[in-house]
Amino acid sequence: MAFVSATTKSGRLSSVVRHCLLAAAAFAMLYPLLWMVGGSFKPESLIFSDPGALPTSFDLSNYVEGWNALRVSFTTFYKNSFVIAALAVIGNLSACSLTAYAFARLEFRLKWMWFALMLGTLMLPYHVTLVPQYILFLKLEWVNTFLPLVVPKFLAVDSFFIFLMVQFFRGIPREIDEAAIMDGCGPWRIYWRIMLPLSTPVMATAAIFSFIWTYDDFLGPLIYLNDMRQWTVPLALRAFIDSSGGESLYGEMFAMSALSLVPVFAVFLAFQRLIIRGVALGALKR
Amino acid sequence: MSNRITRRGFNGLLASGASAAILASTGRLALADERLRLIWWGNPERDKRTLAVVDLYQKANAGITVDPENYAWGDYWQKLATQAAGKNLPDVIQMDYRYIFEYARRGQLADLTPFVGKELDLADFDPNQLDSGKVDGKVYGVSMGANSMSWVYNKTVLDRIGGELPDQTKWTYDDFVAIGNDLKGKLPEGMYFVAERASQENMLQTWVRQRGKELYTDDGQLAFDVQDLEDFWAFYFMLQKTGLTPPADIMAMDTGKMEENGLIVGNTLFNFHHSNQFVAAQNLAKDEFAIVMIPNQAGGRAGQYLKPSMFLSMAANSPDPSAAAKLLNFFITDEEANDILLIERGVTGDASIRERVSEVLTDTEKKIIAYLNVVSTHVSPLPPPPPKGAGEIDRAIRPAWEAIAFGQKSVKDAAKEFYEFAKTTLARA
Amino acid sequence: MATTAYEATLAGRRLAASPGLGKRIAASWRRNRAGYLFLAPWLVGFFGLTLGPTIASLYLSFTDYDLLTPARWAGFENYDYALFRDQRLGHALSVTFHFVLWSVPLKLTVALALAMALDRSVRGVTIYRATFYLPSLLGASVAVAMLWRQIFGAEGLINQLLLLVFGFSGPSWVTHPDYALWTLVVLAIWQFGSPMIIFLAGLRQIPQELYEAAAMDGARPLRQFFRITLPLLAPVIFFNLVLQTIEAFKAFTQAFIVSGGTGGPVDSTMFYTLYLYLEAFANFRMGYASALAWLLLIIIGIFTGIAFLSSRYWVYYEDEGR
Repeated sequence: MAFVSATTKSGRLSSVVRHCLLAAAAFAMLYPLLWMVGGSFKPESLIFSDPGALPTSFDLSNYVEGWNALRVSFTTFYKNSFVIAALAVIGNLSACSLTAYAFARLEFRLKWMWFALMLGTLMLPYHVTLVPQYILFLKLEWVNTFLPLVVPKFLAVDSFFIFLMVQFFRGIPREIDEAAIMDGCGPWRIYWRIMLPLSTPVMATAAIFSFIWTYDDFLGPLIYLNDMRQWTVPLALRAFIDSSGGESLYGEMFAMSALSLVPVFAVFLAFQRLIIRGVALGALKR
Repeated sequence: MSNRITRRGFNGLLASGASAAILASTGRLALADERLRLIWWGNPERDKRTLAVVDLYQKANAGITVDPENYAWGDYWQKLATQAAGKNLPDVIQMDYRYIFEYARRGQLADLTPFVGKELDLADFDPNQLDSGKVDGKVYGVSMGANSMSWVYNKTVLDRIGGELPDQTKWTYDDFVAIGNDLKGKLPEGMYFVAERASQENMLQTWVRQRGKELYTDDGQLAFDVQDLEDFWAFYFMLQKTGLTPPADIMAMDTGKMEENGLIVGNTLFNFHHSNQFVAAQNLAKDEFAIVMIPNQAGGRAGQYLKPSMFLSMAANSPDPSAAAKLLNFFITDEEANDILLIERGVTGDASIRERVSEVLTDTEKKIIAYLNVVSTHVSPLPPPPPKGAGEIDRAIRPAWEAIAFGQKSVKDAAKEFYEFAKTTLARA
Repeated sequence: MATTAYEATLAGRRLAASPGLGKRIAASWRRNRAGYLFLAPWLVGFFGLTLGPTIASLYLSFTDYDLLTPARWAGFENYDYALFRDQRLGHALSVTFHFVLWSVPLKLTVALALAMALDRSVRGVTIYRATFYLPSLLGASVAVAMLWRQIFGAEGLINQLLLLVFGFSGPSWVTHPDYALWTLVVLAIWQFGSPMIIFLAGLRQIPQELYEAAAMDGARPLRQFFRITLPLLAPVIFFNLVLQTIEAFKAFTQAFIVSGGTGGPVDSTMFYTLYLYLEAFANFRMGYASALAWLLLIIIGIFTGIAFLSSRYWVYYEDEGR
């Protein structure tokens, strides 16, 4: 807490310094966005031959043309992306929190073994399970539907979120649920009435990551979706560039890439409030 | 079928075709009794043209629905390999020269020989181009267009500084270096004479072919000597030392993508491209580009050849091979279809189609045709097909050369090591 | 593993509260039933979706499999080649270790420092938080590769700054074998958004009264940090450490994108998983790649195991009592 109790002495100075530091750091973070947005206003022939961040003119045609540059419009891609990402959020939050509650609070046989297996699934590089998984989904006849991208989330296959929630659930004092047990609450009520409400920060965190990672995911949609009308935004963004040397639409790619950040940014802004609001609940709980 | 269409008419056709293709496939379940899958890599321009052809085909063949799948080059091969592993390859597949051997020899592609003369009408097709799609004597792919290696240069800059080039079919590397040394001082700030191409398999191939050798023998052994490789790298190392090519770290910025190419970012006057990439390169630059042949070595034996830019192949597991062959044939031989496709994938091997489309091309596209006409007078026969493991060897050239370029190894040592690596890789494959 | 540690405490509790045998069995049945009911979705997913492909990859690691033709049994050949003959693999491993050892501690430090700086009610803090998360949003899009060249290229931002301040400029950092890996370490640190958010959520779980009480006792910020923040944040630090280490070992996309899929220059960014990917999908050696994957799993498993063992000594959970 280097900055914490600065309110006493030299508070103003420290606040100014802090703002300057934060602003400088923020610029370093923003540079890529500026560059990308800059590129999105340039005509194709200038993007790489004249690589400054600032465009000399503001031409919106890359946005207008980019939206309909592929045979399916970006309206559809966004719709698909939102449907998949929203379902992923719901699936991850519900399934992973149930599992995490079991690992964090309940006692049952072979718990340590399941926990180790759960963590173990994080460690295998996905490239080698990709093909067997594809064959599995092909047999289930789920290929070319959203199911391979959505159903696993409802079955808590993402150990990251389980482990994350376990760590936070275990940060909640046990006296609280012990008191609830005295009042006759079963595990379900403890989970629903105590754990979830007291875990807003971590649930919001999990929601942010679920949304963003699913929205950004590219490999899953690439492997499982064939029909362009089912494509997601990142898949569509890749279609602008032909790295084998055909004609590519770089300006449109930059424009649509910049645009594709808007929803994730909005989701981030919305949910980070919940992380912050967690403090009030955190104060309540003791 | 025979009315010529103008470019404007063609664009209208594209637009209507693309939307109709969507409509057609939306309401497909009601009508279709036969479905074919078609997969290709490319860009939005190619997608539009291909879809317009798909739509044309569906109109002409009621009851057949074509499901299109398309991806960027970098994603295509992972998708295809996964589909192949699941025995779920699309019926008609766009194939690359390198991968066609991998897929054909591993039994994923259908032998097209039985369809030639029936569903596949290749009477008008250049026999040399047809041969390029043969693996072990059988046709596994029909070339979508001829292509050749080339030096592309920045004509605007060359004209401004007063450089002149000799007859491109006869010029030698000695001429090339002399021109470079002459122009070195006159080039704009930050621009070098030529891009180093010592890490590229096809340049090595041209180099050894100019010496009357090949990369691989028919039975898949190395067909050049370690000395050839050493000379090849020594030549480029000399260029780097004399400052005709950019320093190693700048050269390493180019991993083969169009947007990293020295011509586009403006750090080289000459650079390598395949002729079918010329339009894309020109689109990304303000200056005017031109295209010439790779210089000869002393002795003047032709090293270049007409290489298929890509193929259409059929999956071995296609449920209705006859229907798939008909679709494939439509892309290769149909006049209306080729009025739409033009030379976007390369210059076709079908003589009458080539004549037909050459009249509606842009100036940049015409430069490609003119170039290929020159090249075709100065080529040597197709090389033997690359053996298994050739792809791995291809990718290993780059780090091996970079070890020289960054001063970590001598040319001699690196050449020897690489040669040994190539031999063991072929044995392991 | 610490799971066994807290399993032990749980077992202790169980023993402490032991009435009659019949009741105990009944209670144990209820507990097991509740536990497995909550675990049910995960179990279905594990057995239905995860286990099959995982076992398949384990099987394939003992075969010669090129994706296009059926796999052929090869015994320990793949493991033998990987462990004793593959020189490039040794190199890839050393690149990966280098990356893990530098990027993980630095990334976590930056993430924690910024999470604490942003855990205040400074004006505009929402904007800062969002801005700092931005690089992580970009993830691994094509634009990142181009951007990295804009910053670390020959005429990039870094060299222009060097020229301005010191009067000389460096090489193209991103494509020089001596520095390329470092630019990837910087890239990893720059994308510190995820651990930062998790730290932030963790900080929000620490009751403010503790700080108020400590401040009243006259504890300076540094002391508060070591006495309150660090201990109470330990489970979250532990989580980030384990996860970031696993992620760093599996790092693929950044190297793939920035090096254009080559792992160059001169293999200086040839990460383990990049090598694995090239073996699987470029060289058609899925069997060998599967063996590589399982070897990596063992390596990561050892590191994770060490982390869990050490956590006994520095990670305390609220539910363990103190």
